[in-house]
Amino acid sequence: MFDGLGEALPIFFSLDMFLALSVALALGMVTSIIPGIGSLTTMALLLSFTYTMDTYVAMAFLVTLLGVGSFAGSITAILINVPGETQNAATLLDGYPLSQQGRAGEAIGASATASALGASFGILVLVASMPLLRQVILSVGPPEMFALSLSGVVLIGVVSRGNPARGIASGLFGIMLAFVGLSQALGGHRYTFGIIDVYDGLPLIPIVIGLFAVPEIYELLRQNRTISSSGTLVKGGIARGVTAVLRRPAAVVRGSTIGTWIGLVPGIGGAVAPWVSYFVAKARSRDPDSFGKGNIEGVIAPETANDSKDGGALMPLLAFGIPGSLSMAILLGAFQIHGIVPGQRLFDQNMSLVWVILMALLFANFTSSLVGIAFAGVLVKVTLVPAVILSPVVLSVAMIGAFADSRRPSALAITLGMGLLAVLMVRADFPRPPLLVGFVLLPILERNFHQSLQIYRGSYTFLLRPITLGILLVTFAMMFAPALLNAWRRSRRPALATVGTAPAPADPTPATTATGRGATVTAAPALTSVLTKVLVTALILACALTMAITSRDLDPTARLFPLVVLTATIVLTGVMLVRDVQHLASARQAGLPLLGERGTFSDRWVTGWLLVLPALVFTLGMLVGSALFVALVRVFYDRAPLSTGVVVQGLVLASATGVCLFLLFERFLRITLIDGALL
Amino acid sequence: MVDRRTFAGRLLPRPLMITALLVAASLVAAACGSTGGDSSVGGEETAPEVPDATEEAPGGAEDPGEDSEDGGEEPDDAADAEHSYEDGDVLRVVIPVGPGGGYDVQITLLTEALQPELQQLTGTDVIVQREYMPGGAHLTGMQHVAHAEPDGRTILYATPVEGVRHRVIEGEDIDFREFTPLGSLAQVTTGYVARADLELESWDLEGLAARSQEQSILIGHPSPEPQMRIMFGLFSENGIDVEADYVTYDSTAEVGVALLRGEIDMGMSSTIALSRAVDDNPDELRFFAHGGCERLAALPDLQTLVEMGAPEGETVCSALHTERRALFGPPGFPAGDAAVLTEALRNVITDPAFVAEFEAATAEPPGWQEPEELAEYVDVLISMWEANAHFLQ
Repeated sequence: MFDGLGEALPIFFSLDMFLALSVALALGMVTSIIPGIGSLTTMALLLSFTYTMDTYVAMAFLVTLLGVGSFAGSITAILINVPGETQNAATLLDGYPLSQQGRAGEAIGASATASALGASFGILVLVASMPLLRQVILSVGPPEMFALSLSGVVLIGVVSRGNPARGIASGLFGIMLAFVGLSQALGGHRYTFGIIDVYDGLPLIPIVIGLFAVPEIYELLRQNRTISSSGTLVKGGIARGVTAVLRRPAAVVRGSTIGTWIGLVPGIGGAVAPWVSYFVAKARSRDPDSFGKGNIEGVIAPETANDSKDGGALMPLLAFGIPGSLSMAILLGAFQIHGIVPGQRLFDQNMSLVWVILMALLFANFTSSLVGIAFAGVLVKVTLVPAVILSPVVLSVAMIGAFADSRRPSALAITLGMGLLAVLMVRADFPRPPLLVGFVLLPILERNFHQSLQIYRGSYTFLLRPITLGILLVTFAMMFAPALLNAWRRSRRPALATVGTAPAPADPTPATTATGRGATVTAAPALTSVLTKVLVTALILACALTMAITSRDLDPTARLFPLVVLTATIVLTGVMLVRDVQHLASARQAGLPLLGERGTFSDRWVTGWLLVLPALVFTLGMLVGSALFVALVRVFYDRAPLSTGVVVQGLVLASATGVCLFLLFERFLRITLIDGALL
Repeated sequence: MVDRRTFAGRLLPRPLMITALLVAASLVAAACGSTGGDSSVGGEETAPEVPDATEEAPGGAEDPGEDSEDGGEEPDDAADAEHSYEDGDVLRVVIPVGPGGGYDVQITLLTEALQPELQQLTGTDVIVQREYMPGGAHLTGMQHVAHAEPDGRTILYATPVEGVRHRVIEGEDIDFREFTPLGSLAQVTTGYVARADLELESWDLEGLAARSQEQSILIGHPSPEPQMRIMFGLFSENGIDVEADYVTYDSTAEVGVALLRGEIDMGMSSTIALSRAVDDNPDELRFFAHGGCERLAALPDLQTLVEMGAPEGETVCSALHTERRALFGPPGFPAGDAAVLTEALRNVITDPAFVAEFEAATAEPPGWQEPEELAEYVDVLISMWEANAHFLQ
């Protein structure tokens, strides 16, 4: 098992290696923290730079970029509610509420420590179980992957707080969106309506940015406040976050074990492991109701699993050459270019390379965590930046990030469209994470389902395979575990029972709860709130009906999965709509006020300003348009009387934004941005 | 507090007014641009060449030869041709798949070597940039280049058979005969690997057909199922009935693992890629056949399907089991730019150092083809697929 370690150590601790890994660390941290960029783009970009490197250094360089991204993505999830990578989505459930409470430092400290310890423990688990890896990987086929991805979809519905029906409807809507594009069954296109930009499905990054970044920017602008509701930071937060993890060794071990083993399943690990870990942590907690409101364990659990899964995910690649993700595919490309053939011979003949890769992963997680902790004091100040400065900068960068992924202008429309829908979802208490997870997992779920059917020649007996059946039974049990646990707790603590049943806001990031400078807040329910619920439910129902009608033209195999999901959606949202309409009628009779919470600025005002950005981009180009947008928002948004100071501030901000965007995207990432019609 | 109740404020909020004004300005600018297209950047140089090149499609590659008056050797023609590259120009190589994998490795190796070669040939510091445009099983990238401005700055690295499949099976509006062929980089041939315990008396096709009558042969593959459907259709017309079912996987490696798991009877993918799985697991996997027209240098003992008596051998090996990966310009690509690009590609792809590097990374040598050969290949490919499309219904 330790063959090659002696050879690997001097290679890893060489000067060349140190320099290369330092560069990878710095570049990885900078690019991974930008929404929409992440480690994937950086790896793809820098792949060609590794050709001339020594094989060991090249592989360690790329693995470091990969490892850094896992932690860095949590920083944006915590600070601005945008997961840097999809696998960081579970972190925002509790990370962002902590930021809103002025405890961003604590969340980052906990995330960094959990990442470092999780990755270390994960690698230890992996090394200890290396003799079994081949058998483990071979025992997980399409039926098991189908069951595992199904458990992910179910889990997210269970984990979401608030009204379960809305959580499920949100997840189903995410699955519906994932149906658009290439059919996993036949390869043909479906629900594309002839739009070539969505032939391969709706792009993930614009969906993520629209779903999470835009509503936060919207609310920050509407209420003209800072992310930290109180406008202050809790002192000593970073150290408190670090010690919070160190005091919970069992949580670290649990999360890492979950992450490592689920990470072994190609393609699924990243999307499922953090959620399983979060669910287990919540189920075992003595205070499960505090999850989603800023419980530090809600940060530790997903982050330990998230960072420990990278080691597991490397194994299918090293042992069989199976890339479970695009990042792994790039790594596989680098292998090929350096003449390395993954497989048993790699373990037999070149074990030192495997060790160097594992050490690089460990280095990436540890050092990125240290850097994160070192800079956390500065980073958390983002939560104190006024909306008129922070929002336009974040929106501009996020929009370019969304565009950079697919290089299609339609990405901007998808981002804004999804963003405005997400604003409504927040107000209607529809949780957003289920939508994302449904969207990410559906292709895996559907592909493995059809593969299983093909392998079993159309028979459903694949569901009876031992591991598959086991996972399905556990999933089924998990669906009902929270209700059973609650019932059990109530029976044990009758006096507290009513507390547990109090309705909670469904979204973990209730952007409407904070008060800020000038905000006029009335928390009482209002007609518009009920009306928004009706609107969102009707929208999902309308989408489902449209897709169901369109399904008639599809091949029976290609429409099998959609029809199951669409039928469930139509039934569920139909019932919800009837109840919401009844609720609306009774609310009118009860004389509820038309408007509930009001921000400093109207929705019309904020929406108008959000539309200014794409208008500027298509008119003046992405660079100039974004820079000008930053200046305009700073100077004119808050309708304050013009002053020289504000104008100068706007110009400085615009210049800095323009220069940074130009250097990063045009020069470094070599991304050709949109040209304007006028420039 | 600022008074919001101005006339304009009541009529329309300020941001919406700004938006409306900017949209109006854009529309005006777009309208001006559409009527005065010749004044756009680069229009002066490329516009006059477009009609000529379009008329001669698909022989964009033939342009250099036809345009030259002395009919000399191609490299000389290319060197004489007028190109439009200038300092700082970016040549975008659109790749219709995502980064990573064999496809990407090939084009990455090429573009890294192409840039200095192109700079030397043109005397400019033109930058060669890869642009990944995955989507729609290669269709998004292909369509993008098909509709790109033929200004010599955008080219496509593609597998024509993917375009032909979209055209023949799905009726998509993509026709590789209209692209401008620039040269071929690689040739990938596919083969079949079986589980060692597959109960076959021999590796002959009759044995396979007989076995499949008991229970259909389950074949795993990364994507080209229609090829197999056509092949077995052709076999059936010639009295060899092979009953087959198919399982689609994401990669050749997954096909290998599926074989090891016992999920499928046989795997079909790149012969060279499959050979890695066989080498790693000699007791569990064995080659069944190579689909290409000739035996592979790397696997000289492996019989081809044609040698094994496969009917319609020419179609089976050349159109169904051999795919070329090549570079194309959009329809109407400027002849001068095409010529200089072809020369640069030829110089790189036939360079012994590049051949060695390419072979070390992909286990197969690059397969250079002149644009004329490539155009001919595309013609044959399309006619063969169209002739056999009925097997896919």
